[in-house]
Amino acid sequence: MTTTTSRKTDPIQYEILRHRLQSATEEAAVTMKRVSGSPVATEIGDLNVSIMDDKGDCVLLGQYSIAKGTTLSKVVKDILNNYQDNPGIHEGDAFICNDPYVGVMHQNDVALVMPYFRDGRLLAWVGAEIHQVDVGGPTPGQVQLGAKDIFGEAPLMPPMKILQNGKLLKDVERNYLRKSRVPDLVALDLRAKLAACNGLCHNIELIADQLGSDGLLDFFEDILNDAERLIRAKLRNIPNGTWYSRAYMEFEDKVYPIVVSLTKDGERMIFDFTGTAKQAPATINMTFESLEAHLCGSVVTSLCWDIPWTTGGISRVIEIRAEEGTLVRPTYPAGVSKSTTSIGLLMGSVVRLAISKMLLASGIYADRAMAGWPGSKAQEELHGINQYGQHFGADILDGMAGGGGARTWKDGIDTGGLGGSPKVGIANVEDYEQQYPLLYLYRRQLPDSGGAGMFRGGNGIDRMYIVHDQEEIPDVVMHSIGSKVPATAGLAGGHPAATNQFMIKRATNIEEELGSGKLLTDFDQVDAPAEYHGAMSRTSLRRGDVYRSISNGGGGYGDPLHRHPDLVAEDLRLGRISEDTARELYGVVIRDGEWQPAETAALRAQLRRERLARAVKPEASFSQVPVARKHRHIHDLMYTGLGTDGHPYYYCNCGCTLAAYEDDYLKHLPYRDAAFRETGKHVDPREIAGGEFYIRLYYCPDCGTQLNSEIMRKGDAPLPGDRIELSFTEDSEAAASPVA
Amino acid sequence: MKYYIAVDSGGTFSDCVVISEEGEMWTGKSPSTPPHFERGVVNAVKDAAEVMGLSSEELFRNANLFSHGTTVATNALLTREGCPTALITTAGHEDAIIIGRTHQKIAGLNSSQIMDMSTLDKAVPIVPPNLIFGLTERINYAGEVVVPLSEESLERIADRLLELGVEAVAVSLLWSFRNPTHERRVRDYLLSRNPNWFISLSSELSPVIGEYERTATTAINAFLSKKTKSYLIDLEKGLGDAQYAGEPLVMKSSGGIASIAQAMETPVALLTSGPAGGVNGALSLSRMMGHRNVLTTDVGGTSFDVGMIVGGEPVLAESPVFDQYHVTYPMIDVVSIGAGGGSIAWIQPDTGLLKVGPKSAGALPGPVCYGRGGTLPTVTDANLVLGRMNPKYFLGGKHQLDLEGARAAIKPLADQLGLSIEDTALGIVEIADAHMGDLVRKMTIQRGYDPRTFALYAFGGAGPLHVCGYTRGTGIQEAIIPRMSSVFSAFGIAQSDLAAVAEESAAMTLPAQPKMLEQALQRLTERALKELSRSGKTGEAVTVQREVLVRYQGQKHEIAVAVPRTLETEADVEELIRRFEARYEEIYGRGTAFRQATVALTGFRIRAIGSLGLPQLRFASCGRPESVTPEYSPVYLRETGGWTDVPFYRFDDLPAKFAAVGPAIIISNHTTIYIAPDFQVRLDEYENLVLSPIS
Repeated sequence: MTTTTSRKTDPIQYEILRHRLQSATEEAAVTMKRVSGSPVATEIGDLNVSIMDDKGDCVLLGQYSIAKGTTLSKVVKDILNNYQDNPGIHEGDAFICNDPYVGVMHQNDVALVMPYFRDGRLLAWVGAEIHQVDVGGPTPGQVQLGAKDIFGEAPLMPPMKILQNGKLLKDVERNYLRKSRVPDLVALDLRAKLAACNGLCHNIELIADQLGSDGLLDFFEDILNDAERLIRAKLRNIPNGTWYSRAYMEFEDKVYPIVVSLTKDGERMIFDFTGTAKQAPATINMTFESLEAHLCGSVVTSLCWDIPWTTGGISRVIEIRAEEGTLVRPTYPAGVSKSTTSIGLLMGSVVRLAISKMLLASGIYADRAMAGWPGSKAQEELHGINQYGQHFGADILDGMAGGGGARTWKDGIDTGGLGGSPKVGIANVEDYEQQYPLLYLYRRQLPDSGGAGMFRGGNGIDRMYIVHDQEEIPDVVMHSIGSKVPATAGLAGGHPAATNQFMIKRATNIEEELGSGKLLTDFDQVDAPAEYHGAMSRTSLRRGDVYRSISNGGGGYGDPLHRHPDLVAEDLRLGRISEDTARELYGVVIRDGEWQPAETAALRAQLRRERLARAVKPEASFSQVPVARKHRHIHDLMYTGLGTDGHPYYYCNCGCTLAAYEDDYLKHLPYRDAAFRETGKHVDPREIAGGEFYIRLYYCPDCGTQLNSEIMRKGDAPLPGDRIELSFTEDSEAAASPVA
Repeated sequence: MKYYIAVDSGGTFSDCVVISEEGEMWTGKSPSTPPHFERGVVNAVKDAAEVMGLSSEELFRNANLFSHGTTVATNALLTREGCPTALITTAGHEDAIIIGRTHQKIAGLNSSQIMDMSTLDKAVPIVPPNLIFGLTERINYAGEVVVPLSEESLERIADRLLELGVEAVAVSLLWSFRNPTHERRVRDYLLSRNPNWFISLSSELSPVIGEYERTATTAINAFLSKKTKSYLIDLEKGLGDAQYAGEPLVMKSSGGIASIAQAMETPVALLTSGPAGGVNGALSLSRMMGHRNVLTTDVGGTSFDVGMIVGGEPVLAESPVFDQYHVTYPMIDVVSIGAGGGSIAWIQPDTGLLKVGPKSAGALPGPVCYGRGGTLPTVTDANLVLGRMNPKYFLGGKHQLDLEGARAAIKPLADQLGLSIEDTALGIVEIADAHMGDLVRKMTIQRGYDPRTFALYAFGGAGPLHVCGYTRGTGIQEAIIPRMSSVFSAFGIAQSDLAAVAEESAAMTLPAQPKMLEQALQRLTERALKELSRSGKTGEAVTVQREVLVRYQGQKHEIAVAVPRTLETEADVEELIRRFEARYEEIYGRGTAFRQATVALTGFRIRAIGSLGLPQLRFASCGRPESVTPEYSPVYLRETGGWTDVPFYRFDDLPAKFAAVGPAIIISNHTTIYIAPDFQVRLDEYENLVLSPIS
């Protein structure tokens, strides 16, 4: 156990200056949003800033796209390692970088970092990063389809001095802009980042005026230590144990599993990615440098609800294990052009799910646990000529309006956004239509797209548009993951959310229909055969083509049959679920808006019986041992406890003994391998997963309650059940009760 | 003698200011009386009348004007106590207001709330999903009809609205601000079905791009309609009963006053009625004092509000948020953080750090020392422990303050910090001051303004206690505490002329034809003047301020550039672009302007002001004594490292041209002013206290 050193800054002054630093990061991010001319920044906020110490450790992070802030540390450390003598690091310098093997997530994330000097001494670094719409490469936008390796993607730029003596170096800037299809946007974003960094330096200067140079360094170290102290304290309140999570990422004709186990041991967390697929040639890998930065971001957003987002301090309790040559630690020159929205989102999702399981086991933090937030988003990039005859490049990010993961006490937020980026938002339809040759026929929340559960996942977004006032959009790149296999999982027996879907109907008579007064707001009403696209696809759209896309919702929490019928009736009344779902998934009989108690009870009992009747029974069964003392909840519906025979067991809430403590309890539960479609109307509705993927649903052998759900590939071994270290204490009874 | 009366009715008090036609001023105060706020309003006037030695009937009968600021609309929104409201929007886009661009879940929240992701949620709906109706119609970005409005679809919706018994209908269709014909047709038809419906059109209320914000604004307006209307009717009746014969005027968030009829149509315009009054008071004072740039600061029990006047004009908000909804209606920008006298001090477990806020004890239970059941130490308690607030003088000595209670509440914190109770109290006040100072800094330096060119005005109950603390180190050279600081919003309302703000979105690039720009500005000017004339009082003289909103192509944030003169030549337009670029570089730093990116003009804004010929205030300092002898009382100071006897002055006892250096404390009936050792103070000819750092 490491002990952190005591604080050097006076505690009152510390609090005053820490607040000022926080306020400075917020303001810097706002400045970027204002100066940037790209909707990615102005509307969506896919950007971030960071303040780092003299060694490049992150002292404070903005609240936008987390990984865009954490990666900046990596860039600074690379510069410190390589450029001390040549080209040197001086006052008035700034460096840009888009090299994922140095630290950013993918080439489109262009970082700008700036050293802060005082009396000739390097004291701090500041940085800013914005997703760029286009930085070159064969395919417009970020996703370099068909790339064999990183050389088939957008060009790499290791850290490069672009500012000297406070002046932009014209030669470097021209070289940088020349590669992009939208140089003016990129130029404005460069200035946005400069403005943000200048503002941050100015604020650090004011603080240094008060504390002096050594005082400033002490102050930064204090902030790092405090974050570390707080995360350690939190970990002490959580039992030791190991929790597992897995997701599958489809790309081209392959599927890549991502597996993580989280072991919490004392005041440490070990994230082990053993079992994760071998690297892909390009596009969907994530360099180890970005993995470290990104994972730390996921930890911050799911564990640091009351701890400053000082990833430099938080990362001290994190250990990451990943094998060389895998998706999360590829060997150069593997490509990574879509790492953010493929492996990035999915990795964040599996990590957060494992952390949520850990929080469930803690008892006291169970109210912070959440089922999966979107592990992917449906996104398209359009390039062509707009209605004004100018070239345009558009990153349509509506898919960011995925559903929030269900909470343990409340439904997830409908169109709640993305888990790792609290402040991002989607643009108005009018803003898109103003800039791009599009007409949205609808943009709305999709009923039944959130995962079913005792608490439901938030519904995701559904939209349909046509080309408008232009003949054609020649370049349409649709990209996502989670089209075949759901990327957003349920927790504690909850169901996964809708899969991402892209579909097009070609050469329809939609324009005549509209002109004649028929406003089509349903894809099925459009009279043409549908063309379905996979997770990554490049095409074009012409006048008369109708484009539709669905982005996933949030995962559900707990057995859907445990959902209160009032909530089911309310969802139906407000159009958030369909009648079929109410009956089939929730077992609630509703007539004239009222749920029927006797019929509902009967239907639910019948559904539970059917579950058991259709389930595969475990090989080993054993005698029931009544519980003498509860230990800890695995989740709301099951717990560990001491039997009357003095031996510890896993129990269902109904009192049924599930397994002996030393066994993997999942091996003793009846289960059924179901098609995704059975868990929700929009989960793989066309059943393209075929027999290759399915969801394994585990039940209590006695009451039929659904205790776990796991998305699986045929032939893969199921993940082990969660392990929690036994530690019976006087108050374990109290700690075991779930938070109301 | 004729009088001008203004009442600002807030959550706890109604404040009254009366100004005679000769410029003499009186004030009154009375507790607010929810839900019948109009009673408190009349009581506040009675209180003022008493000070004047008049009967309230006499005062009302001789009133030229009665102007009013109200929180009725704000309260109705916060408590969701509006009327049953339906929303009609373009079919397919019914969910826009629910999706709220997804960032509705964090809109208006502070950073610690945002970090706690599992507690986030979208706004509590003002229109439930089953009262949102999609209309068959579609207009495109150019304002062309793509799908004609379906009468049949409209009829069906109207049938449902009748069945459901809604009282108000918000209509917000895509691109209606480019072509309002469909929205207008909807209104005509709905009124033909039920003339009693309150109908609000987005194209009239908020003709700006962005369907989510426009729809939210329109829906809120409709939602607040009936409640606001019934209150204003009650008010008019209450004032009538009290012998006021004229029509009352109402303060709008945009900084001018309007007729009751207009206020009833646009209740959304009343959401920051009170704070706008404060900024307006500052505007009026700044004109007398010759300040072009002013920061207004108001410290209340739970919040610290900062507004801005730049170049002699109040700064309008970009996209203010109310209870997680973005509203796009012209409003004076008042930025608020949760730091006030009621902010609670606590120790963070595990780090042992002292923190202040964001939780507040509010008005109830309030600070420990108020003895209303509060047990957690607040900023006010800390001020009391330090001797900055003296129980002997607090609110004229009418209220007892529990010093021992305050000390006892701070003691556990002191024990954990290993500090004395006094040093802990000092820490609490300094942290609160710093949080407020950060906002001051954010509003000036970080927006590209030089703080040395700003005067800071401090008002509100606790502002003057903290003004040195939050001014220190910001570069601001002068902090003013106005004589009427405790009723400053009411003063501002009394000093308000009629005003109308008209805004319109545009999509052009610059340079553009000067004639085209000029025509647009004139068209909008007519709209503003028409609105002004509808208030029934044309005013003696009308002034028109013209602005264009400019940014680089693709950016979201506009910069307002004044267009004082008629645009005639290309050189005039070029000059406009130059002014935009100059301001841009002021904000974002030299070298950030980037004309290759194309300069876009995105909107026009007109502010028309109809002067009501309000009297100039007279500041008679007669009755001031020749000299003053302060009482001395101990105050705990960081600078001296302990208790020091500090002079206490009563404001009324100060001689004309009084000046002193800190530490000193000045007490008036409603407020306490703390002058820190590094500040000096003087009384100016307008009866303001002027504080400045000793350099």
